[in-house]
Amino acid sequence: MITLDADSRLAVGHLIVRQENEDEYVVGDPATGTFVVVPELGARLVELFAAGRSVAEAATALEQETGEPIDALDFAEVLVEAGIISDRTEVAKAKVWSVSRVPAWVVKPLFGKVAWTFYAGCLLSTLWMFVAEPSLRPTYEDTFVFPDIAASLLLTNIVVVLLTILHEIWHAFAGAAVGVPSQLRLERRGVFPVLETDLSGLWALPPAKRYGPFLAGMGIDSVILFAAVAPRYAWSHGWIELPPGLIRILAMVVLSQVAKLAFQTLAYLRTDMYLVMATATGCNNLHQVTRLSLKRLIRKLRPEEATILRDANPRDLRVARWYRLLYLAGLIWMVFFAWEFVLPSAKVALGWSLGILFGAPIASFYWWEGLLLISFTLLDVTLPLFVVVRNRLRARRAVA
Amino acid sequence: MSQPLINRLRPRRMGLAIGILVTVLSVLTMSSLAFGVLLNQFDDKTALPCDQVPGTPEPFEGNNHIAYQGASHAPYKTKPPTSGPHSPRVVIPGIYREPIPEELQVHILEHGHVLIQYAADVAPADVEKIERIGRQYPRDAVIAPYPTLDHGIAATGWQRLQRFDSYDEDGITNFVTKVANRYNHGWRNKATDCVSR
Repeated sequence: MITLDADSRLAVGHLIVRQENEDEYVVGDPATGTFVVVPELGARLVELFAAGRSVAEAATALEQETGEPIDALDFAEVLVEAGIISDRTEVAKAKVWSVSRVPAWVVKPLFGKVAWTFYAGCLLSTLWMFVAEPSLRPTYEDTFVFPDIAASLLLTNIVVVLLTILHEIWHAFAGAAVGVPSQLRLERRGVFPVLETDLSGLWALPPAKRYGPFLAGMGIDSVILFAAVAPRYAWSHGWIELPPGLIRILAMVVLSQVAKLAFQTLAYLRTDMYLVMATATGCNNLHQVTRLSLKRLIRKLRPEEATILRDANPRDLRVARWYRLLYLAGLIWMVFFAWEFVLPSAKVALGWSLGILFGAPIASFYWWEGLLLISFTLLDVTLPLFVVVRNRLRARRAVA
Repeated sequence: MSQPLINRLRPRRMGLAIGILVTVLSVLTMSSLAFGVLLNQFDDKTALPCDQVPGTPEPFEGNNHIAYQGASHAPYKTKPPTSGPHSPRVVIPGIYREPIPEELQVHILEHGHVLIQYAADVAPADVEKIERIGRQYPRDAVIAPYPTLDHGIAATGWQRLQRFDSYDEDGITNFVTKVANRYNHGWRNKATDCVSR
């Protein structure tokens, strides 16, 4: 922990200062993803610290500029408490995904104009093939690559997890290209378990530099989707020969990628498209502000929640006025989705597997298959609950 | 003088445009699933009358799942089978080069697909032509060998059977397009089994 006094000279060369509004500046460290919003005077103090002035010298300089007394030591202590300025050895120890430590020059070509044109071209070509050949569009049956349901689910789950990690790696690469390291973590969006790359450091950068990292995952998803659809298109027209088994695996990949891209469009689940929208509309905390403004209508807010809403950026409040309609529609849709798809599919899978467990000879191949199926089904249903419990325990520990 | 004003307006307009675009995408994704369910409920298509459906109608032999592949069950009355007890395992439409067990064949039919199976006496060139039909209808047809078939080609749908002595492109295509999806865990669009009148 740093001890400060009037003669301290702060190491702030790594900090980014960016004007957010007329009298609001974001001061932060993209490497750790910690940032605070300060008034114009605070931003000026950081500039003076960066120029090598001590706390006392910076205060004197600013007092001369404004003609008002300035408590620079108090401001410096706020930066330290917020973790914006810290012992650099601690920063080095911070948990960062090793993928995101790739040097920027290595990954920058993946997010240049040519690369983005390629990503968009893949997506548009795929959409065209879906229109021209409707049988290429995915259906739920594409999950069943093999007659053996357990083998199909195993392969599907492995492919989905691998492609999800690739999606997250692309986020991390895009973050690394603009100098922002990231972390990978398991999270939950409504009833869906998700892997998530934490790119909080991006919020210290100008908005124009955030879009690439936010959209990078969808970019690589589009490439994989195209790579799975194009061979099937050529095969269905008799232009190329492919093993029928490979065609079924490609169809399963298409189902996985389409589901993933469709999921990203559900902005109210704080997906990649939500981050794009929040950036474009200049919001800082749109999701929480929306949620709390709706919660306030049906029950009393806790004091800390009321404070968040009271101190919310006016732009967040303004956008939340229409965004909450989408948020509400999304909640209703999720109940519908769980009722119409998640529960029936879990019911069918459990029915199948229990039938096998009770009907097949104990410890036979089929019996183990039934057990594996039950495990898959329960994992899919309970993973979001596990994340809820884990997050609550973590929050309790943090308070303690 | 007007440049600074434009600079101030552009980000706001872009923000609004992206906000609208993302909202529309969200709504489209949600509604495509919801409308899909609703449209299925209010589907008013009418199935072909029995006299226009190719093949012969076959009696209903049940639709229960057997506990596992290989478990004993009552013998099928047709060859290939067209209904009856079947495996819980799933085979999706496509081309297969290995024979498909009869218990799995029935499950394919229960999902509304059709099976085009060929005996050992069908020439490789004709097998290739049959597979080409499979490529044209990749969501409806399963193509596979059927070594225990005495000869020729057998087309099956749920409670429907047609035999071909030799390759007949029009006949097979007609069966695929007219029989597929008449049944999917129940008769659809007012179709009937054409047995019980």
